[in-house]
Amino acid sequence: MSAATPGLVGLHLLAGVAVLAPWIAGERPWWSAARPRQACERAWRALGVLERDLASGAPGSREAAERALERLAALLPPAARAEVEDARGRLAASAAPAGELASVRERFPPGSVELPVRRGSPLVAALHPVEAGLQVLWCAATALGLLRWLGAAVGLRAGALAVLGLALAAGGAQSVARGAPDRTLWREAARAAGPGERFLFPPVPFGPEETAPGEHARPPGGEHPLGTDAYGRDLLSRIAWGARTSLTVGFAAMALHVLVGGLVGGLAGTLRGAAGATLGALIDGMQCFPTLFLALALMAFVQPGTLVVIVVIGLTGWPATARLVRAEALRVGRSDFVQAARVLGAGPLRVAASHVAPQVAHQVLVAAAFGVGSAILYESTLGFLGLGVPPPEASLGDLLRGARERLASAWWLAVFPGLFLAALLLSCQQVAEALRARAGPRPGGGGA
Amino acid sequence: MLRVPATLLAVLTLTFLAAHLPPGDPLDVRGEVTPAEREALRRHYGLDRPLPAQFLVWLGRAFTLDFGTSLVDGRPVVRKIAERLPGTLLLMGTALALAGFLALPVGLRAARRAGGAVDRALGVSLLVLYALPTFWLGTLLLTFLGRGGGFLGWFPVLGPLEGERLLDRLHHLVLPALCLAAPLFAVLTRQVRAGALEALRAPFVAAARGRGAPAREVLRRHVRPHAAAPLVALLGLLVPRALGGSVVVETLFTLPGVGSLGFEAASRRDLPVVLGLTALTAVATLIGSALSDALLHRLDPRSARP
Repeated sequence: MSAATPGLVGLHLLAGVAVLAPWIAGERPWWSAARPRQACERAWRALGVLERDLASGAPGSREAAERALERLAALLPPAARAEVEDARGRLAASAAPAGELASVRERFPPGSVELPVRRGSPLVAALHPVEAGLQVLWCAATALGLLRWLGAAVGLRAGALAVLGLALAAGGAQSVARGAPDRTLWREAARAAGPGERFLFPPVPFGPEETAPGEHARPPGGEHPLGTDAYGRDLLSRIAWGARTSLTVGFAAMALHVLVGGLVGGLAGTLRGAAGATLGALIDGMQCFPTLFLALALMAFVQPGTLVVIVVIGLTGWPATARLVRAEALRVGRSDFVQAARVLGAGPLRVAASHVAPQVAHQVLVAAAFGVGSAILYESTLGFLGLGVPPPEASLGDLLRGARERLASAWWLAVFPGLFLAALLLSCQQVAEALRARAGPRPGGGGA
Repeated sequence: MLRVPATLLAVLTLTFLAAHLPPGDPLDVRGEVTPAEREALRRHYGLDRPLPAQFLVWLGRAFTLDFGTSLVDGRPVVRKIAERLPGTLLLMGTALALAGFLALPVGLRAARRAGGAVDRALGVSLLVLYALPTFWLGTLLLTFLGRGGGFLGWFPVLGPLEGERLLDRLHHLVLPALCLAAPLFAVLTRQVRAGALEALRAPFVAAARGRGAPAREVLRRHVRPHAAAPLVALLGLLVPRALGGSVVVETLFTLPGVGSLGFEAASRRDLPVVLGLTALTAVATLIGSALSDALLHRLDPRSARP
């Protein structure tokens, strides 16, 4: 057991909720055996549009019609499929292609034939490869961690890096999770299910932006384990998907402030003369701004968006990192081994790269660990004030903003997203403090 | 002592840049305007001049506390801030005092038997208190203790009204002050605990014990002053944090203050108010930390040495 283990485990589990969000909550079934009625109907309607295009002789309409017939054929039972394939074959040479389409349309209106059951996992089919990779990685890390724990030997280094990397990746997953390829309304399909059709939905079969009519502000229990919000959206689903937003912003903003802060702090600590002093004044000056005021000021003048929030938090948070790195670089710069390197004729660049940087690295790690927590906090605070990631995308802060408007009637809206957020922040803080304790006690490290 | 003026200049430069570099036109706030009107407005606010010229003018005015007039209601920025200041000072003062006075005994108690059950329990609760997002804590307090929350309803939810009695005002202040004080209390208590532990290991405490001073006496006369002195410096450092927290707390509890003014100005894109407020809060922070440093040097002359 290492000192950071509780926080790391917490962070891992919470990141897991974000990584596995579509498995926990979403309208797409894990697995289904279904007759593709909706797809068939869409394909059939598309034929009608193409028929008009063909009649008016629009360019490329013949190829489009061939593709549409192919799509329809793939959904039909074998005998019907052969018929449609024949029509497709005739299309290229036909003098009246619109007539061919019309005959197919008349022959197979929706519901005229019993469609064959298709088996598969709509959820897996819709996953972006990167996202799926991350989910596999997360599960592997969990298995590995469990095995190690059973073996009563948790090595922090490898594990810590794996978890941090994974949480970072959880952020990345968010950006690719949108734009699902198939447009089937699975819940409707399940409602109209006939014999031989089966659906296995996630534990919470609701998407984060899906509103359930007549289910406004339902208390926890029943279909919605954590209740629904004022628009009838499932709270658990929104928390799981909102965690993705929060982690994305948290880790990306942290990366930005560690980059800027490390660079400015390192330069301020190693450069001599006016340049170093100017950078020092810049850091001191930035430290004076209450971060939230600065973030508000910046957010007031730009169009809100996820990327903007990341940049604003990154640009306002770096001085804390810079101060740490600068102090450490100054301390190391005065030490005997750096003096010795200078005497031996090493240039400033070499001294900085091969003597100072490795010494400063652990401070950067500590700053990064604190940075994640504070970035998540600022993101959610901005969201809470209504200046964060724009709706309808769920973010933990935005969820709590919604809660504020319904204090009297819907306590669950405030309690559950807040608990999740608090647990996330607590894990980050615990890991950061354990890392700092390991980096050695620093004067004035009072926890601020 | 070149540090303070240099930082001041950096603060003012940064404020100016923060407002002028991002894309977007502050005049958009006026809604529908014709291009001619827009040009007139630009000239009126000096937005047509090159950036360095705008900066010099702005800097000159900043030193006389002239931050222009609000784009929303046309009143001077300084006056808008000045009338909101007492509310924030009262809130922050109450929260800081609450945190400071509670932190001392609690931190000392934790340090007295470091590693004991009380110390460990306190350690965990302080971590939780520190990590709790202020706005969530506030929301919970409102839901479960505030009137209209549907539960206990002990405290009023909306901010104090004009002309209320002192007791009423205090009643209104309880929840927001608690909310703002929670993370500050965690920071300060940890500092007291660390300072007390340091003192307990110091030779002067060993000497006092050796003289036969009773444990209570040692704690009161030798450990406590040592643990309390750094609080003064930390209070200065906590000003920006408390100001940031005041944005959330004042907005949440609808208290009139500098924080809620900042939020209103930011959401209405009121450039001069945001600029003035950012500069003033940063200057206040700077002055706060300089003052607390000076005070610390008086209390503990060792700290003045590098």
